[in-house]
Amino acid sequence: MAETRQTELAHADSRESVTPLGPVRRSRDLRVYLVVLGGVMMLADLSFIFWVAPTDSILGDIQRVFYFHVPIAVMSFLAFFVVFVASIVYLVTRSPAWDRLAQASAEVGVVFVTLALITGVIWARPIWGVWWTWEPRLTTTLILWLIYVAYLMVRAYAANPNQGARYSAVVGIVGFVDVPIVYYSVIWWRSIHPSPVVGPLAQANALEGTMAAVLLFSFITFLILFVFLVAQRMALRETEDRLGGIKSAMRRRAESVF
Amino acid sequence: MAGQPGRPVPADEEYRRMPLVLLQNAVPSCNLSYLAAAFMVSWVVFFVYVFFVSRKQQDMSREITQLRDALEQPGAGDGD
Repeated sequence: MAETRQTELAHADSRESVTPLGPVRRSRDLRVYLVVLGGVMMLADLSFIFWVAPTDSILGDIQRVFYFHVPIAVMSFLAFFVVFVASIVYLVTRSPAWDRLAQASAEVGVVFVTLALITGVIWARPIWGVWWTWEPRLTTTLILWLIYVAYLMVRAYAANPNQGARYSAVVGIVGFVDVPIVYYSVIWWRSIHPSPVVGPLAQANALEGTMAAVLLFSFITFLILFVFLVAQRMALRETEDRLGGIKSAMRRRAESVF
Repeated sequence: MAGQPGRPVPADEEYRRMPLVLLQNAVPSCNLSYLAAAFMVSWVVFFVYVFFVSRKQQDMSREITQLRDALEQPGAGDGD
């Protein structure tokens, strides 16, 4: 009897498969290493932002928000790109590993896009004189936030996990259409938002050399933070799956006994 | 009296009369509170999220250990 029980638990527990970010997700030590590295780099980044980067001659010190705001916004785009790819692969292969990656990346992406909106609003108040204005970049970013909050809600309120994974994968794929719209909104429509400093629309020498170097360091720092957060969230989802598996194994056993 | 019709307003007097809000926007260092708020909010949101995920992970791992321990006890779940 004990052997049967052990086999059931082992079966419920053995849901390992090849996953992206697998080594980071599986190894707690690696995640600890990442968070320590990210923390040290974040402190260095803050010192670069405040003591190395020159003060903008027009906007003054508030321009330093840019070293957080831009990498955070770009990481949200990266997160939703990962959701897009992982959702396609999930729909093709039906591998739960890709669904875990999509869910983790979507949740982290929502955190990043929320922060992009908040830091943008804080920047807008002293520069534009208003907290919020319905200009194209802000509006399309708010729509992006709503799309991926809807993604998480579809998953949370679905009748069963498989249905939730399928429906949210469709939302994740369709919703990604808004990412290029957000990026190109400043040239497609009349916008008061500053022009892009990264990507295909960025002008050569848009940034002074030191500013560009500090921005690059911020990008690397936030990329490490992004990888850590996604790996941490994937590990949580895996634990959720394991617990669910053990509980259903116990339920099956109880039903067979009574 | 400065500002009366027909009499030009000296530049320094005009500067002194600027509304305070405009003056604040014109002096970059006055925006430091907004800068501090932006960085503070970012850090708080990241910490809260990491705390939330880590705590949930710990709770679930503890629950798994408890279920395992309960099941591994002799006679547990045998129904007799």
